[in-house]
Amino acid sequence: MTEQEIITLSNQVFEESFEIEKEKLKPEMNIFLDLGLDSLDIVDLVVALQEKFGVKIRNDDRIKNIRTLGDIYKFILSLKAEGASSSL
Amino acid sequence: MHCSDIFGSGHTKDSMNESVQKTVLLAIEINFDSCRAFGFSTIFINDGYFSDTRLTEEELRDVITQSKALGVREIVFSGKEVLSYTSINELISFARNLDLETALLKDGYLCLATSGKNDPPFCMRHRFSCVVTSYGYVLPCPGLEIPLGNVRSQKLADIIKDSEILSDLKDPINKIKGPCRYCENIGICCGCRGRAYLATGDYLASDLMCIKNKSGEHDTVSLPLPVDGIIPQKPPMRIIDTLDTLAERSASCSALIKKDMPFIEDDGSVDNVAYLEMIAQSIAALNGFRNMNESGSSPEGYLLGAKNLVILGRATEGDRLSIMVFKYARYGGFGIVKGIVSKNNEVLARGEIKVWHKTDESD
Repeated sequence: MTEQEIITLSNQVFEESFEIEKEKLKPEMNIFLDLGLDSLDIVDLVVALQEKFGVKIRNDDRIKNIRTLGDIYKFILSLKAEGASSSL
Repeated sequence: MHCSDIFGSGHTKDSMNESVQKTVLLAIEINFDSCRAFGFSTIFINDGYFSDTRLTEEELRDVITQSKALGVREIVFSGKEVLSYTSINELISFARNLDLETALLKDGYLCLATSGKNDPPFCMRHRFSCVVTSYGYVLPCPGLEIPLGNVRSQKLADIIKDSEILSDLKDPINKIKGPCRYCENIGICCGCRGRAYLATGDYLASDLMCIKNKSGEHDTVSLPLPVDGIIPQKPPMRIIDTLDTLAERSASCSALIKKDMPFIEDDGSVDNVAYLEMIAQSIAALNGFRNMNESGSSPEGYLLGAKNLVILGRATEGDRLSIMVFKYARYGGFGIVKGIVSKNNEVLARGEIKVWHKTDESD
């Protein structure tokens, strides 16, 4: 999966699950301050990303440190790179 | 042959403790018995697909490879049909080439709920092993026919790591209920979990067949179990009646629609919001039952919201409903629970609720 595909699919998650306009989906956008997510939304985000990318996302410091959309792209890239669904 | 004859030796206490802490395995059993129906629990773990075709030789090799990566040192090929499986010799060779010890077990185990044997089984196999059936289902052991997942849809590592049942079974000192928990052998035996499950419906119940429990001095809880005492809701808000069946991160409960319960419309039908409350109370019953040893009730939790609710039918006074719930996802203290409410196998409603539970992480 290319970096551009990851960006496109991640943006789809925000459009489909949180009804955020496409124009707002830029890497520097803070998912809480700019996109309006709150702590209750994180489990929905995790589920949507798991279903969209077929990866397993567990409680992980990398998730806790996510602030921007760009952080999510990098996180998915790293999961894909390490074959996250098969790692312990 | 007892489980302990195969799975009780060759692994040191240190290696078993390491297996518990690091969620690795030391042994697996690949079972070639006929396909079995597992009841409602397959509705959720395999996206509703019931796997009734055998894994191919390539898929079985992949299971062995995944097992090796998880730390497995020993593979037992078992079941009445193991010798008639055409590629069994190739699988054994494949495992041996990975430096795995192999064993063949054609006959079943002696430890059955109906057997006359009542010696302490000295079984601790759940701390370091599991069963993969030739249909792909992962079971805690041959006696606990509760599928934890299916290797066709998930990696073995994910199934093992996500399993609440395995997590409970790896901690018998705190999780087993009743006399087995207080037995002098608890460090080396937690009773036969299969016998306990067959007798009570609870995989954490005491093994009533064991000679150590013959005195009958302890009460044993069996399913179905009234939910008063395990969920925080009191009448009239308590609208489910019993916890009926346990499965992996899931449970089924029952509710009898009564005239005086909340959510009843003037025409005697049930308001749609009641289905969400039934799902929420059912997941509370599952959590409360799992925590009976610790607090005697469900951990603190709140229903935060619902989505994807689909109403397909209506219930009215006098109907007995079945509610099946499944913990679909969890992040920190937040979780998504899927639920299905049905009447006589007709689905009336299905949907998802978002819940928050008090956990160490959410403190």
